[in-house]
Amino acid sequence: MLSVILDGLELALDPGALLAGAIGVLLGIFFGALPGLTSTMGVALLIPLTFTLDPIVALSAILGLYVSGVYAGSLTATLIGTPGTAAAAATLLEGPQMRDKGETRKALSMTTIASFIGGLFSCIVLILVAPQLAKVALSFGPPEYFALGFFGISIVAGISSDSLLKGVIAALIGLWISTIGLDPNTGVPRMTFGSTNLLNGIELVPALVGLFAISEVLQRLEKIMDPKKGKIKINKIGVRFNELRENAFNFLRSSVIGTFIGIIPATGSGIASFVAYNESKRFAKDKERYGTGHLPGLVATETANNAVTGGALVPLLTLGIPGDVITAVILGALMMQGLTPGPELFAKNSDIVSGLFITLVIVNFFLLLIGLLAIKLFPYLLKIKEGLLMPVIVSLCIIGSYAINNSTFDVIITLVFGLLGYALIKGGFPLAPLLLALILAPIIEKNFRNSMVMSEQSLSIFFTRPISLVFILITFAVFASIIYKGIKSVKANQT
Amino acid sequence: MKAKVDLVAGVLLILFVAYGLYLAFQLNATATTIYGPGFFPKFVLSALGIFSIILLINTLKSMKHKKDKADASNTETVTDYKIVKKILYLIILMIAYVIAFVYFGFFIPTIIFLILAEIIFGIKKAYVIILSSVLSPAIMYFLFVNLFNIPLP
Repeated sequence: MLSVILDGLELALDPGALLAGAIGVLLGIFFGALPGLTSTMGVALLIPLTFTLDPIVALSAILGLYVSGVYAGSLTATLIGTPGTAAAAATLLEGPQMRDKGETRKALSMTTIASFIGGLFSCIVLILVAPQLAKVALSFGPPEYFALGFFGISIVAGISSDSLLKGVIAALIGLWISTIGLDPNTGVPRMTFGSTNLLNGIELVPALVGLFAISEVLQRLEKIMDPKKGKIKINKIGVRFNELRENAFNFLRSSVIGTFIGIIPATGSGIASFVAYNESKRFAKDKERYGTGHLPGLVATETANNAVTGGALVPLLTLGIPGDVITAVILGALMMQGLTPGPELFAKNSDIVSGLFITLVIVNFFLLLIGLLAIKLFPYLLKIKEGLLMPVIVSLCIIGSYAINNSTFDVIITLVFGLLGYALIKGGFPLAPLLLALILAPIIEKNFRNSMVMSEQSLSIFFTRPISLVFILITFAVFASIIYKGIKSVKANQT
Repeated sequence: MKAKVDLVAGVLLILFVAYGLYLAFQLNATATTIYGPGFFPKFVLSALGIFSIILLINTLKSMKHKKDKADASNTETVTDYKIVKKILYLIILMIAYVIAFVYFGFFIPTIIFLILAEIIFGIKKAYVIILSSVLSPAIMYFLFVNLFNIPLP
């Protein structure tokens, strides 16, 4: 045990890893804060740049970007009233109001501190919970994995923002795309249209770079925002120690809420912030001050927001099930490093897992340090012209997808998926379910067919094994609640 | 507008499903089990077909509904013609860039792409365009080739 921790420390404290972590945090601030860029895009672009590095060095940069991207979206929300990321929507409840009251610095400093506390708390939970969960998962056989993947697909419901029907269709398209290539069980080529390039299937990283970066650039072209004219003033008054003490319980409560919502797949930062905000308001004596630039409200949203990060890594690392888009992209990054998330990872690569945990703690400290030191610079960041950035992003996508396998075919995949992604967005189909399905499909199909071999073609195997049965029941419960909600909303529309 | 998009999407999806199923049914010819290589694609495509039909029916219903009511709330703005043109330009430019990247390598195509794309994105100052289009490929080249040892074409 101790030797594993020491191995992890050695990996995580490597100067290269530390530097990569700091760069990751800086990039995260950049990608998170600028409304046209997303942290998902940032992580997707980092994968081809870092895959030649040692796993922990690469993961330092990626985790740094992930953690600080979630945080930085809130900075933009406070400064210009537009959330830099979807996760920062709840920040709009208090952030801009604090700015209008002339408390910009206080708001930004508190965002930084709260994000750090939430992030650190969730790291600790991750470190405590993940290895135990992985031990349980080690006993999983094909039926359990199938049931888990099946449950993962029901997540689609949670992430299809507007239209459930379209979310399901997007997921099915993703499932179909995953069948391209050699059949994993029999080696029969499927849907390859005679192309040898397609025999290995669609490479995940080029596909997601296209889906989440190229399509985003095309979307931004529709609504280029000119940088805000005028200067955003940052005054001297920061956060007082008293204010930290008064919010101690708020920090704890919001951290717990954020972490646990993060662990549940398909919930994510946005929901966690709103729940934490409501709870903070419910417990408060001065409810009427919420919404007017009240500090405890900001504490709640920002703590919960970042507490999701560690929580979301729990199912990803232990079971290999990503809960949202950005963890799905991180899964892609892990696989590029030859590390397949799941219980095996904890058994075989315990040094890397422990290094990863320590790295996550370190990048949270970087976030605190860089965030507090750089407060004055944030307004300048928002003055960068999108028109200069977007073409460079496209170029990075193309070069990046080429670099992974030195394959021009992958470049074409990126472009095709970029255009497909844009077409789907325009048709109102969400992309997140497609990506999740793309990742979960191999788990589902392979384990289903292996289960069928185990049970000699009897479906009862999924209902006679307790863990598998539990997952199947939860999935049906999720589906039932969705159908119930759907019927209710249809009825509400008719009246 | 939205209904029309859904209608087109529904029809395209159903055509796609039909073609996909045609391919999938050729897969099981040699399989000895019902859960062979063709099983999963067939299952997925069938589900996709069912949901696409639901989408189509829903859309047709809502279109009829709207006609009856002569819906006045249909305020959805038709995307500006100028923006559509810009997006088409960018898509064509990206396709051309990928082709040029494959045949002529990294540097020249990237510089030309950046210049044109920045113009599409509405950057006006010539010196900004030229400076950024030459500098950023240089930085990218340094990052990939010198720092991370990833060869570029």
